[in-house]
Amino acid sequence: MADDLDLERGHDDADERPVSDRTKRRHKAQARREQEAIETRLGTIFSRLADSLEGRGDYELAEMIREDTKAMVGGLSSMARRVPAAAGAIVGGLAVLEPLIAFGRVFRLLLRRAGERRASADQEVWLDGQGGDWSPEPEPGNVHHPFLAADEPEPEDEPEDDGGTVIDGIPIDGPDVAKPWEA
Amino acid sequence: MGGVETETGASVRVVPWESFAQLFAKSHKQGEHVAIVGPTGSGKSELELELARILAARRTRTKRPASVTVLAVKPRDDTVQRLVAEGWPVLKKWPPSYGQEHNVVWPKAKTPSTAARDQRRVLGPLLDTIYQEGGQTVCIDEAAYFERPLPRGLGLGATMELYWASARSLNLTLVAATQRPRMVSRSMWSEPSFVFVFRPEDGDDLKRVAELCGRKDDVLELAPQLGAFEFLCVQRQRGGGRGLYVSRVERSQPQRRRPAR
Repeated sequence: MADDLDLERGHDDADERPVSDRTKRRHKAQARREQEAIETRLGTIFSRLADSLEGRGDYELAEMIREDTKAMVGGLSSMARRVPAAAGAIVGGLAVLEPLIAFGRVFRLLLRRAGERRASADQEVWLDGQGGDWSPEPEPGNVHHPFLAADEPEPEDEPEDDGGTVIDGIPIDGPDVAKPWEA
Repeated sequence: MGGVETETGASVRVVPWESFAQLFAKSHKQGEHVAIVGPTGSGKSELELELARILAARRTRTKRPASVTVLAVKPRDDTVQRLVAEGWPVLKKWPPSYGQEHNVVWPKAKTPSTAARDQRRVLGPLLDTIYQEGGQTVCIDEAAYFERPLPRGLGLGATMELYWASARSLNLTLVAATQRPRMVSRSMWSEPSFVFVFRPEDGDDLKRVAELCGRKDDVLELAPQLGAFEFLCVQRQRGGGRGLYVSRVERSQPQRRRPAR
């Protein structure tokens, strides 16, 4: 319920106040709103920055930013209030940083995916040049080595050894070894 | 109870005050506005307060006494003073205490030069609050003073216009009197269900009221013939048409009311 109306003294009437008074009041309220907006935006920027650093593994800096956010925002806000030029620079900086931080992660992910797609396409082109399809499970006797250089000779099969068995330079088996028990 | 016929053929009922008071109490519905016009000393303030008493004697749908607030602006007002003597308290804050349904709001001016401004600081917010609350009756003795811009008046023309035009839907009854019908909005004469006309001193004033209240020729013919304290009432009837009554306002016996605790 609304407050009681004082019927002896009455209440302030907006139309009665001098125009300059009203204008001053409005300007003050507007300045306060702008100040609050800058502080909120700076706080958000620092928070996102700390998140980003944490994502990259820089926990020390992220923690530091989180701890000092209030002081940094307060300092920048105070400077913006006292020095109009600084306020302009801070607002300008925010205008650049905010979209960068807002879209940074999305852009990074899109770039990585685009790189992966390009690598995959290059590989397919190379396979087409080799004249064969990629077979993930090669069958016995049909083994090929896609990553070997084209001019490198294929490994040759071992030659058949028909000279018999030799141990420490003494032939113990083969056509030249006498086998009296077979005579 | 008698009747006369005007040149236009309309029948006018001439009734004594008691009968008229009963007729008014019976036919007036909460939310219907009342406008009174008449020169100084014609009896319009007397009539206004008699109507306030009639409306205050009614009960709401919840069986509670109807809420009536008289807004007084003159430094001294014997008519309002009589109401106060009867037990209508002069409020110092709004809303009034529970059970205190009949009230007077009388903001006192410190100096003549700041009177309007001081009174506006009280009556402006009060009218806004009452408009939001709805379901009450507000009596204003000098509507032109409320409507005229500062510093000659309270500069509440827009609020008054809103009351005349849309307060009916909020069950808010406005009873307002003036001696300067050309200084108030047209709505004061076109919106009310009851228009009371005392014998005018200014032909232009009468013309304006007659043109807007819907019975131009009859009002122009009858009003100049009225005697002291006699009035012509034009009632806008539901379903179209307008009834004409002539009566003479009489002061009712004061009824001492026990003040609410």
